[in-house]
Amino acid sequence: MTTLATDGVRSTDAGTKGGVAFGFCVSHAPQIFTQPKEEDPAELARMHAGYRAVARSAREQHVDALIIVALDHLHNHFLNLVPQFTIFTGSPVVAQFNRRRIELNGNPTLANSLIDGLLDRGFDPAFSQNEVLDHSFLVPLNFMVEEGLEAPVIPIIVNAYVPPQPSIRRCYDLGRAIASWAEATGTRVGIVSTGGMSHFPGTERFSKPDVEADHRVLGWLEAGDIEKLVSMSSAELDDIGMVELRTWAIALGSRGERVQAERHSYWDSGHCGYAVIEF
Amino acid sequence: MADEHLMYPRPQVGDFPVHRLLHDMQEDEDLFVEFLGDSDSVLGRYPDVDDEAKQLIAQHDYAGMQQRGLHPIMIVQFQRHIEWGMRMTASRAAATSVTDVTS
Repeated sequence: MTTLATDGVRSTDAGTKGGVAFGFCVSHAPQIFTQPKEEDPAELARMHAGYRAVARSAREQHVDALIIVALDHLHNHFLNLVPQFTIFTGSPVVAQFNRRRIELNGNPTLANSLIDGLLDRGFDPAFSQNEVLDHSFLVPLNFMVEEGLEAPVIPIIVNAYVPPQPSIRRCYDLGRAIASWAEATGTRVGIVSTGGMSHFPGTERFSKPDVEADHRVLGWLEAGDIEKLVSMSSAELDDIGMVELRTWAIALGSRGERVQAERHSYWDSGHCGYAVIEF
Repeated sequence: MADEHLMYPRPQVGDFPVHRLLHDMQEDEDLFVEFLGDSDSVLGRYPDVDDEAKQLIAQHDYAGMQQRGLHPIMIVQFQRHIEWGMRMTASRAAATSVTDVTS
């Protein structure tokens, strides 16, 4: 059951100890952090507000940890080793981008429990005890830290850009497995996935994100039709600039089979669809 | 290869040395600064990288790098570094102090 608290923070199954208490999907484009003059400050502020809402939810929901699902833009996971899913088990959790560096508490015990739980549920994630996370983590976490995020963080790194990537359905199923682990262990977590929406960095389509696809996907998620998203092939995701939405599928899967998203914001920046949704 | 039509195709094995060079400059700010001042010196230390690729990189020819089929993420992060002074370095930023730290 989903309710709206007086401060607007959604609360789901608040009486249950273990489980995934809330979910968000947010964009993480570098420009949201660097705020170049070409971008609308009001729209960037809406993105920042979305990030801050994640931190408030973590506080209101008294989570044991915040799982943040993002990617690695060929920094740590260069072509000498490309794991599909990596759980960061170290502490501190360090993210860095463009002279900004943040450090947060991890929770190695919970992160290792998550790995064990995923192994029991048919997944074989890699793990890392020491890597600096990139802008896909830093951009949203920066604003969550400003908002007072105190919960320990468990990062999950997904291979979004180096084929062959995991199917988006596999990502959704990973989310289901995360929820199963949380419920079985009595662990209360929140989850935020970062990425998307449509964009084509480093290609001739950089200035032509598929805005129609953004609205189509947002419509599916608002209608609770997650199946349409997770039915997409890797080639289809690539064609509409949504290879990063694999991260979204993990968060969506973790929140159950009948998830219905609420849109906080969406803006076509001209190179990327910036969005924040909650569910 | 089946996915060669993709916007983000499987990187070609033969381009590994080129990607290694781009990755080294992406992750090592000192090397990147050296490249800006003397590209020949840096490129000369990568004998496995062919002359065509070295020329594309030395001339900051992003479109040519795309046509060559280099990984778009490696290209855009090189471009952001060059054009916007945006430091994309992460992996060598040394998260070595394993202590409990709250931001």
